[in-house]
Amino acid sequence: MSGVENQAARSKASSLFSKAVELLEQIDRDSFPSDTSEDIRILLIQVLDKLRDSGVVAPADPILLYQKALGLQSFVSLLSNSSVEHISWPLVGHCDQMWEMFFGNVGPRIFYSTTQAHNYTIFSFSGHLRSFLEGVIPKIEIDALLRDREFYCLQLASAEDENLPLSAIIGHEFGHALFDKYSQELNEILETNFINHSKKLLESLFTGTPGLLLEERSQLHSLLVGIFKRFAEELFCDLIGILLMGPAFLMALQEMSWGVSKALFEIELSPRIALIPAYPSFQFRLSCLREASNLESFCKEMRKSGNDDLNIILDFLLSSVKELKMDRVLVKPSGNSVASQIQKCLANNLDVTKNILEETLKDFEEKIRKLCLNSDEPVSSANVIALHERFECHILPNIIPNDTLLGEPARFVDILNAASLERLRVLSKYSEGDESGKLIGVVERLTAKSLEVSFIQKEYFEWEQTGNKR
Amino acid sequence: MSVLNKEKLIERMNETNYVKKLVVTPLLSEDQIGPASIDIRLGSSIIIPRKTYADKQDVTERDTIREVERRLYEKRRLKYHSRFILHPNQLILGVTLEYLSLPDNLFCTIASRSSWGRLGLIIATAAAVQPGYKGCLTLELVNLSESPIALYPGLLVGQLVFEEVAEKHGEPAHYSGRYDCPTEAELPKFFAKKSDKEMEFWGQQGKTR
Repeated sequence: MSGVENQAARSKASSLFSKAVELLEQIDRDSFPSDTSEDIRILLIQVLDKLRDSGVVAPADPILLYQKALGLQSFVSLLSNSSVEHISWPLVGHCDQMWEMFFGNVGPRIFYSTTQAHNYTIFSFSGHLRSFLEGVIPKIEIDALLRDREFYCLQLASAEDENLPLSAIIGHEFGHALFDKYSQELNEILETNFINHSKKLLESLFTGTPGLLLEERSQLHSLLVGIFKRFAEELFCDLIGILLMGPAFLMALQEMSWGVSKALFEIELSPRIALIPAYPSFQFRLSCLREASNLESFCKEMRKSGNDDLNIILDFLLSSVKELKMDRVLVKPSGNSVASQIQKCLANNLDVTKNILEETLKDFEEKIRKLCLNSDEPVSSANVIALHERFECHILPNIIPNDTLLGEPARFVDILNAASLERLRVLSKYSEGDESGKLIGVVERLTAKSLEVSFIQKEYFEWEQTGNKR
Repeated sequence: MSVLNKEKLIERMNETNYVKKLVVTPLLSEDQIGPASIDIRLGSSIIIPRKTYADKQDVTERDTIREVERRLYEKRRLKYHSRFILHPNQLILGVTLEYLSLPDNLFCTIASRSSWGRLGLIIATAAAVQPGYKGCLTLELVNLSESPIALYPGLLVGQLVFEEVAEKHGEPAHYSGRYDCPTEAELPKFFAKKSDKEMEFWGQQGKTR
C-alpha cells in the first residue's frame, strides 16, 4: 500500500473510532437492564481511547487498524441492544441472582444483549475483546484495560423476547460459563471415561483407515477426544439447565428442537479442535436429563391437581425424554476425508458413544453437586400447581397463597415452570385461529408481570425486614 | 348498594374460589387496605404522548387510527427506583402495579390519593372498572400544578373503592370489554368492539366537508 493509502486508512479508522465513541456516549443508560452494561460502556470507551491514542497504536498496520475499527462496531452494537426495550429486566434480575450463586461478587460478571438468531448464546466478552485487541495494542495495555474485568455476554433471542418460558434455556448458557470455571476437573472426568470405554471406538476408527502413521493416529485420537469434550460440554450445560430451571428447561429445549431433526448428532470440523461445534441429538440430550430432572416424581405430584388438560401435557413431557428414532451422525464439511472417517466411526458405534457420554454426565452431576449445586429440587410441584391454577383462571401467578393477604412471593423457577406448562397447554389445546394467539398473549403478559412483581415484592420484604424503614 | 368496608374487603379477598374472589395483587403491606378502600401503586410501564406535525387523533378513522397511535406515542418500561418527571400540563399513561380480578358482583372505581391530588396529580379520568374485569388498570396521569412532579414506580398514588352490584336472575354482570388481562399501560382500542362501528357514522360529515 502506498503512503497515501496508509494515511487514508489510518484516518478513516480514526473517524470510525470517533463515531463509535459518539454512539457510546449517546446510549440511553437508563435503559440498561443491569449495571454491568454501564461497566461495559465505560470499558469500550476506554478501549476506544487507547485505539485513538497514536502513542499506543502507532506501530499497528493501518489496514489492520481499519479492520479493527469496523470489527469494533459489533461490540458497540451488542451494547446498544442491551436495553429493557427488548430484554425483561426482572428476568435479568432473577438471572443475576443465579449467576451470583455460581460466581459470587468477585468472579466474572455478566451483561445481557440480544441476537437476531432463534437461539441463546453466551460468550466471554472480555476474552473476545482481548483477542480482538491483540496485534493492535501492546499486551501490557490490554492487560491494564482488562485487569479484574472479566465479563460474559448473554445474548437472548430477540424474536422471542415475550416468550419468557423459553428463557429456561438461559440455564444451559450459564452452564457454559460454569464449564469454563471448572473445565479442568470436568475435562479430567471426560478423559477418564473416554479412556475406560473407548477401546472399541478407537479400534473402529483406526481399522477403518489402515496405513495411518503414528502421528496421524495421534491427531485423529485428539480430534475424537475434542469432539467428545464438546458433546460432553453440551450435555453438562443441559444438566445445569435442568438443575437450575427444572422441567421448564425440558419444555424449552423441546421448543428449540421444533423444525430441526431431533435424531441427529451434528459436528462441524474446524482447524482448532476447541472451537468445533458438536451437538448430540436433541432426543439423546432430552433422554439424558430423564434422571437428573426427577421428571417422573414431578409429574406424579402435578397429577394431584386433577387437571385433565395438564395430564395430557405431563404425558407428553414424559414421552419427550424417550428416544424414539434411530440416531444419525453428520460430520461436516462433507467430502472431507477426516470428517467421513469420524462420521463412519461414530455412526457404527453410537451405543459406545452414548455410553461414554452417559457415564460422564453421571460423574459430572456428582461433581457439580459437590462443587456448587447442592440443592435437590429446583422446583416445588406444589407451588407450580398453585401458580398454574392462577394462570388458568387468568389471575396473576405472582404469589403462593398462604394465610396472609400478602401471600408468599413466588420463586422465579416456579413461575417459569407454571408458565411453561400453561403455554404448552394453550398451544396444544387451541391449535388454530385467533383464540390461540390471544390466549398465548395472556400467558406471556401474566408471566412477564409476575416475574416483575414477585421480584419487587421480595426486594421490598427484604428491605422491610432489615429495618430500613425510615 | 353500599361501598365495601375493610371487613368486607378482607372477606372477599380471602375467598378461595377464584371466580368469586376479589384479587388485588401484589399487596406489599396490609396497611394498603383502608377503612373503605385499597391503596394502589404506580407500575413500571408508561406511554408518553409525542408532539408531531404529521397526524391528528381522529377516532372515527378506522383505517388509520392504529397506525397514528404508533407515531403519537412512545412506550417505555421504567425500572424500579428510577425516576420519571411529569411536567406541568403533561399527560402520560401509566399502569397500576397491582393486577385486579373482580368477581361478577363487584364494581370498582379508582381515584387519586388526596395527598397527591393536592400536589396537582390526577391519576385517572376514566374511573369505572366493570364487574368481572381482570388486569392492571391504565392510569391517565396529569400534572395540573405549576411545577414538575417526580414519580417513581412503586409509589402509592391511588385508591380503589368497591361496590356490590345487583345481580339479575341467572345473568350476572360481566365484563366483556376490549382489554384482555392487560398488564402494561394500554393505548385506547377503538374499533375493538362491534359497537364502535357507529363512530364512522358520526365522523362522516367532518370528512365530506
